Amino acid sequence: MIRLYKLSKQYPSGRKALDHVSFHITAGEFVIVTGPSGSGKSALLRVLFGNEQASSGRAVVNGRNLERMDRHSLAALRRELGLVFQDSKLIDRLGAVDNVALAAEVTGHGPASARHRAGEALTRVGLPATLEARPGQLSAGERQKVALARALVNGPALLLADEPTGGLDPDASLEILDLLREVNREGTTVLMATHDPDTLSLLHCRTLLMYQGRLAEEETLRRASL
Amino acid sequence: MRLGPAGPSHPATYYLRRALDSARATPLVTSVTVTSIAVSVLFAGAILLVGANAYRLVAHWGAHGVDVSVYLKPDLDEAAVVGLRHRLSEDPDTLSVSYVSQEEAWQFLADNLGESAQLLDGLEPSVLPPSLEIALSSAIDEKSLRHKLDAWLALAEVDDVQYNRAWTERLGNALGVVRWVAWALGALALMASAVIVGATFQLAAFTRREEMEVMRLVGAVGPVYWAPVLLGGALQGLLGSVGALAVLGLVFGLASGPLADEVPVLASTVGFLAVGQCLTLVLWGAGLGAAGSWLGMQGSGSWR
Repeated sequence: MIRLYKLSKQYPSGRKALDHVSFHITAGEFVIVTGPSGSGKSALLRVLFGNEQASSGRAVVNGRNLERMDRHSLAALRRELGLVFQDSKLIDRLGAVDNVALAAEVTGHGPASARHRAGEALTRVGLPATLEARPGQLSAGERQKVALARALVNGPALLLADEPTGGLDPDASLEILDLLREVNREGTTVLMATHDPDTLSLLHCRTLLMYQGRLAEEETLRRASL
Repeated sequence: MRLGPAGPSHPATYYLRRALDSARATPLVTSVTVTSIAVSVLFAGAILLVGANAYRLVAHWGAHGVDVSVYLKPDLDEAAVVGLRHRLSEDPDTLSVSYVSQEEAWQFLADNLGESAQLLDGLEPSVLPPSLEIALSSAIDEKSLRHKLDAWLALAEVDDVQYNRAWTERLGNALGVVRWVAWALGALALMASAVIVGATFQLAAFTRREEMEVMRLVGAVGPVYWAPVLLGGALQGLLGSVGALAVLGLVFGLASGPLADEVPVLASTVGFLAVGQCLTLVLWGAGLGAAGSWLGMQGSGSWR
């Protein structure tokens, strides 16, 4: 599903966000990327969904080589992925259903079909199928559920989640993590970045530790968590 | 199900709905955008209206043709005058020929002098030469006119030829000035519009920056990404330009009536913009809106 080989990302300022990162994630896995702030977790995810271009190395995501991607192939990749961010990234002026439906509309579904699918996705994350409330009228946990529903509405092969529980209270965090586990059980590969120790303790799965842009030995952390 | 169709494809009504939804969601920015386009179109329309009417007025003054006075030798008999009048009236550029006798010329001069007519006391009408007053078509060019008048001056019956060349030259110059002033003001209006509308669309782009980022993140590309934005800009431009034309028409209607009462010649010459000019302004407003939206969209963030 994801194959990285000596992937590096260096900014014009000279700072290295990623330094020769290599790993392989197979379909159906649930993988956590963790590490302190500035370790390169978010930079890694931004490269994986094409928001940033690697300086060197090779990255293949869902069969697509990220080295040479024009606007159209990048958009096609993003339509195959589900993306969840800490700040939800919902459109303020749209209601919950329309926010989710938007992701279905860009894949070619008409408004009615897209809203129907959006209703199904909202139900899947435990929200009413006809939720019309705007993001500003929802709690942080509900906003994140709407964002998760939007990420799932097209049935993605891979879900990338960058600090999806950041800023949420413990109950809401737990709900989001349960949903992510359920999504994974249903066959979607999940790669989640988090620096929250509580989250790590709740999810006993493959964990990649990053430090100063480099990938530490994942077995070390796995032993530590056990 | 893993994926929907490979390429997004929606009917125009879908893009229209999204454009209208977006405009409704940001009423302040939409109002500012529509107003800025309306102001720029109003400015351009006013220049066009004043320029077109000034041109019409100047053209109207020059349209009655070139007046030529052919002064005859004083001892000419009636048959010679009739023969000459006949020959000159057959010229293809001649619109009319009328004979002015010495007595008529005297009376005309006295009438024009008014209270100063006593200056003519002690003088006889015979001091003034008889003449043929000829109206030539306004279509005649300067070179042909000069050639024609030289030929007439060379005739045995003719003593002198005078015409309102200075007046026609002034008219020609005035028309040239009107054109240049209209172009200069038009260019100025265009630059002012670009600045005003550009600033407004930067504001609009800033407002929709997050929305465009979300669109890119969910994989929107092609018309589904840009069509609602462009359509929204074009509709705002359309609304602004139609509003501007309505205001311009209203002001013109209110001002032209009293002006025509004061200056009767204006009643028959001054008019509002032609349909084609109105359509051009409306299209210009719509184009300005679409172009501004496009530039704003380019500035709303990159794909990477």
